[in-house]
Amino acid sequence: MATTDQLDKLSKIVGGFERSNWLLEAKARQVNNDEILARQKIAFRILRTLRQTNTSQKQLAEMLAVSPQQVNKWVKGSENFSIGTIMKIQQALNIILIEIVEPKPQMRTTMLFKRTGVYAQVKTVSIAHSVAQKKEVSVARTEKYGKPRRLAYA
Amino acid sequence: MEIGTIFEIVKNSLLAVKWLNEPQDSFKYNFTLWADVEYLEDFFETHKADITGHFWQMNVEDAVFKVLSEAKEFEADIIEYAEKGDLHDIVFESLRGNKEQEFRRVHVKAYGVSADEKPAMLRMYAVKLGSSYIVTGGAIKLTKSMQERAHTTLELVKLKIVSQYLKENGIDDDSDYGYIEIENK
Repeated sequence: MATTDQLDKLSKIVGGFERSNWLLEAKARQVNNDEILARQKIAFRILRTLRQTNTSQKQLAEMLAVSPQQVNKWVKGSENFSIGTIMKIQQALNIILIEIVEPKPQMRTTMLFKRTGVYAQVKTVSIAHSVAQKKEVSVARTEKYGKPRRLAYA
Repeated sequence: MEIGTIFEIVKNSLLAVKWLNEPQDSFKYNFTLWADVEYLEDFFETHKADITGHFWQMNVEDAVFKVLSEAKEFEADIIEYAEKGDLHDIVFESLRGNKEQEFRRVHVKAYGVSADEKPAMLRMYAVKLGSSYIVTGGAIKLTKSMQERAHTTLELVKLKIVSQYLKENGIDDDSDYGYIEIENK
């Protein structure tokens, strides 16, 4: 019996196949992968803290004045967190879930070229520094090496 | 375990049983579980001895995020092949061929895709019907044989129930069945 015949027969027996919406949902998940992973990481941290401190989801719900169902959505990693919610959970469980990290200045190496033909790696300076700051660097070099003939930034 | 309805995931190639005691069809339900951090954390706490042993050598956190990652890759692969309409040739791969044709039923398992050096933990079990597959369930497989743990033993039971169901309803042709296990590419 051909596969399509078998499937037709099976379909009649079960009263027709149900249509699945899995493909649509799965494609949406692929688009939001980074966001989903972030939620899952937060959910896991909450769950481990609850386990370590022997705190139930219901107790956490009471601490935050939300429903246990809401907490359960959080720990499944299926619900978006607002910043306010995260702050409240952090306070209630005395943990850090997210942290704002100050961006480190991007560094680059400055090479000073002197007429004497000597190259010297003199300092690393931030790209974020303004032209005025570059002048300061130049002045500093002048004090140390004498007036440079040419100052090049790599 | 009782069969409720059957869902069509990919037309003419991938079907899934909806068991009466489960909230979604078995294909979708497994992806739901494999993305559920609470379920996974609890599962690996329960099976901590398996994952911390000689073979897996990982902690609960590593195991949870391994499954989340595998499921994501697994799902992405199935989406790709589902859209090509070429699912059975690529996602499912024969491990032992049809050398056990005498069993007549084809029990198939699709492996998850592991991004790390460890083998995949995820399995999607299905009965092969001609060139299509009927997913009966899935599992996080941590032991060598399915019989070693209750949750994988249950998956064997589901496969047998669906096989028996097809047979009882006359969807049974020796030439269409074999016994196949498939492994990750």
